Amino acid sequence: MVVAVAALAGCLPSLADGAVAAIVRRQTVTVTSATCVTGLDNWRARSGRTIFTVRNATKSDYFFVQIVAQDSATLNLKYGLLVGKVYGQLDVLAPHTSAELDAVLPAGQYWFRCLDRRGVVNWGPGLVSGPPVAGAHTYAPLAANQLQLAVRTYRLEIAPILKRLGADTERLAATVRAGRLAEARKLWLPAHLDYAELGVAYGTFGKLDGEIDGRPFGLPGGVHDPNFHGFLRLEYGLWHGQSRSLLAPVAAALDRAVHTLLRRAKSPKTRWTNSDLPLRAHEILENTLQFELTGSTNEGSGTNLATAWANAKGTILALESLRPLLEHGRDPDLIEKALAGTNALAAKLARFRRPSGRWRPLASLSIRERERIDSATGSLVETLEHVPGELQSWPSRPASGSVDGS
Amino acid sequence: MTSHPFSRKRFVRLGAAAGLGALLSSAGGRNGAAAPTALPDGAVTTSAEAAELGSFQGPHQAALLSEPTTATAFVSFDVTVGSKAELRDLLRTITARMRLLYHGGLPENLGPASPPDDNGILGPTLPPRQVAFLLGFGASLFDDRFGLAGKRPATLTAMPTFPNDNLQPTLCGGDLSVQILAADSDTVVHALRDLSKHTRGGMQPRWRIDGFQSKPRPSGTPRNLLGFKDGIANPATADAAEMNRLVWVQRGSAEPAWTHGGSYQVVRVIRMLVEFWDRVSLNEQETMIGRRRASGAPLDANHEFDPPDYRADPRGKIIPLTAHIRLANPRTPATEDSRILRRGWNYDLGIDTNGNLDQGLLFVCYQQDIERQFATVQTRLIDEPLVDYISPIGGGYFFCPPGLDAGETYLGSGLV
Repeated sequence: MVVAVAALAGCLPSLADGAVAAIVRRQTVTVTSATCVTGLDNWRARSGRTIFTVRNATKSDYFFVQIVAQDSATLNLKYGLLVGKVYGQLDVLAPHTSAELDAVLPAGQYWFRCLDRRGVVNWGPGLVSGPPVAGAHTYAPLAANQLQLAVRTYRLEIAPILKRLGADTERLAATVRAGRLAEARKLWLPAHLDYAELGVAYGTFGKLDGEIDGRPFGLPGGVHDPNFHGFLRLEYGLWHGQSRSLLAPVAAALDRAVHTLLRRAKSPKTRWTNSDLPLRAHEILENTLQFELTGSTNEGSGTNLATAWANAKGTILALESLRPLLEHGRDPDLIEKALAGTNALAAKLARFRRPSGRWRPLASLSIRERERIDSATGSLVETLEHVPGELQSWPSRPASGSVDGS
Repeated sequence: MTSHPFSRKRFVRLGAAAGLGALLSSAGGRNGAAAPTALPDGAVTTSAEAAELGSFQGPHQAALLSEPTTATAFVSFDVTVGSKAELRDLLRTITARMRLLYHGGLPENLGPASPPDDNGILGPTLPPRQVAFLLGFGASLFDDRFGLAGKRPATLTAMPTFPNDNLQPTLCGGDLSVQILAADSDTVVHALRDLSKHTRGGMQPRWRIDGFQSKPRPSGTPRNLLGFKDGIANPATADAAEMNRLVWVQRGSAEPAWTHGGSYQVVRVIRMLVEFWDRVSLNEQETMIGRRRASGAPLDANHEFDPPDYRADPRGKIIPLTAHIRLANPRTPATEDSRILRRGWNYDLGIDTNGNLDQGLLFVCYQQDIERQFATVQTRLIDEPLVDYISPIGGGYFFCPPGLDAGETYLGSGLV
């Protein structure tokens, strides 16, 4: 079979010329709770790519299966802990099913690591020998507390933004209440950018996100729907000549929701899902592509480029918090490339702010100006897509009957 | 017109369903030489031709002369890189990805921390030799961004607006043209997804038209959406001398050296006002075109491939002087060198704002000199009766660079 090997180079992934021929081997193994795998007695393999067909013949056990290198690994069979690089993994293998586990293995010693509801069982070591191979990719899973540290850093970083957000929505609500709507139109953007910089892309704050920055999509009445709340609702009213009496409650509700958010963010009881942070580092800008760079969330202010700029800054915050973890990962260039790309994007977007402080509306950009922004954002998310996978944690021993395959 | 209708089918018929088995079993690509393989329709593909499609080695881009495939996407891109070195990287990536997609095989394993290398549309293993590509350079690539102004092909300009045009700027021009050719739409979409994923930082799609080629109904040349056989009279692609006279840019011309073996590509998105057309009598339709709708025969003959005899009908009593085929190709010694190699696909984009069907012709043609050929033909067609029923809405002028010399590794090596 022909396998082409790609290498990342510069801003564009480029390929070695022509396809590189490589042999792909196939091997069938069966997982069991007792020994992790069977069917590999005295396993000796040649270096290169092997596609294992992994069978789960048990009646009711779900397995999480990995192939882990023993080199540089600390092995403690007693506690079932294995720290090393993962070369391949199957996140869930249900009873009576089989699935392919595809791994490119350089010469070395490897362990199969199986996790089921009873815990971890390792099988190995298997010996792989042969010439050096190209195209082997791996990652070193994190211990759960490593991400916790990054989240703590991130929370410290966003604390001043949260504080500013609270002050800005308070002033905005007071200005709308006083009927100074022209002034409110000026105050709306800085407050909205505070929130956009938090990059609350995937609902850490749950329903509150809808109250603060909900979109009219999915509401039967669209922009006129009574359940349309928050910044975009207020934007619609401020830029469509709606009255003080109509908008004062909207602005007040927004301010209340923001202050609920501030309380929750401060509360030690609020549970932060650690794995959200690596996801957010990638997905904030996916939302930017979908909602800001298309202009679909413009309710009249024409400030999508400003929001995109704040989203890029929010991505930088997330990446900076993750930097220590990524610097020691398998691909230390990833964080440099990701940060360089995000900083460059933020700088490109900042050029659309006029000296007066007003932002150019998206619709005023030429085709080529838009293409350059879309291209820079598009290539950046192609880089950021690698961040969440790079920062996977070891699956922890499940507390109760289910397997944590996330 | 001397070409035998089937002689051109020597070239690889990508996607001719009947030919796929032969293509797959012919040892093209990387597995070395093999005897020429006969396709069921009598056409022959040699391993060398198949290899050219994948490697881009050879004097020309091999897909240019292949018969129109069932499915295609024509995509115009604008380059977003900032330097000549980055443009070179982009062309390297494009060429490498195209080769990879042509050769197929098992996608790369990017490891447990990354999303899959391939989008999976074609299944876990990419079928080999199912897709071909054509790359072209637009006039705007030769502006001041990359210092290429001095290397612009002599007759490459931005496409002008012709008198009967109704061009939409968002469907016109572009720095690069990429045409993807395959038997099946999923193969086309797979390739486009892959190519754009790997080039996002370097280029951005500007416009795109997907086309399809109809089956022969019931035989002969496929029909366009006006119901007429379209592309009957084409230069013979198997006739190397004719191709050198009409299609390929030659050494010794006024063209920069890197263009030799390349060809000018004109693409026109021609909306057909099909509802209006369907309200026109058959006689009027046939006199506008100059052919019988049922058979494709010229109005003065019986069979599709019979040549019309204009000398016997100098006043246009049988085939009007303004008939499309007569204006497009008057078949005189004086107009011989304005002939073009014509490729057409139907397109169907849904409906317009008034509920009319938004469909038409994705017209592509190749020539040695745009002024002498396409522009001359198009000028002859100004105000032909057919213009009431068609409306050119987009397109562009591009230049397809030659294939690769030994040692060259990417399309456009001679330019950047």
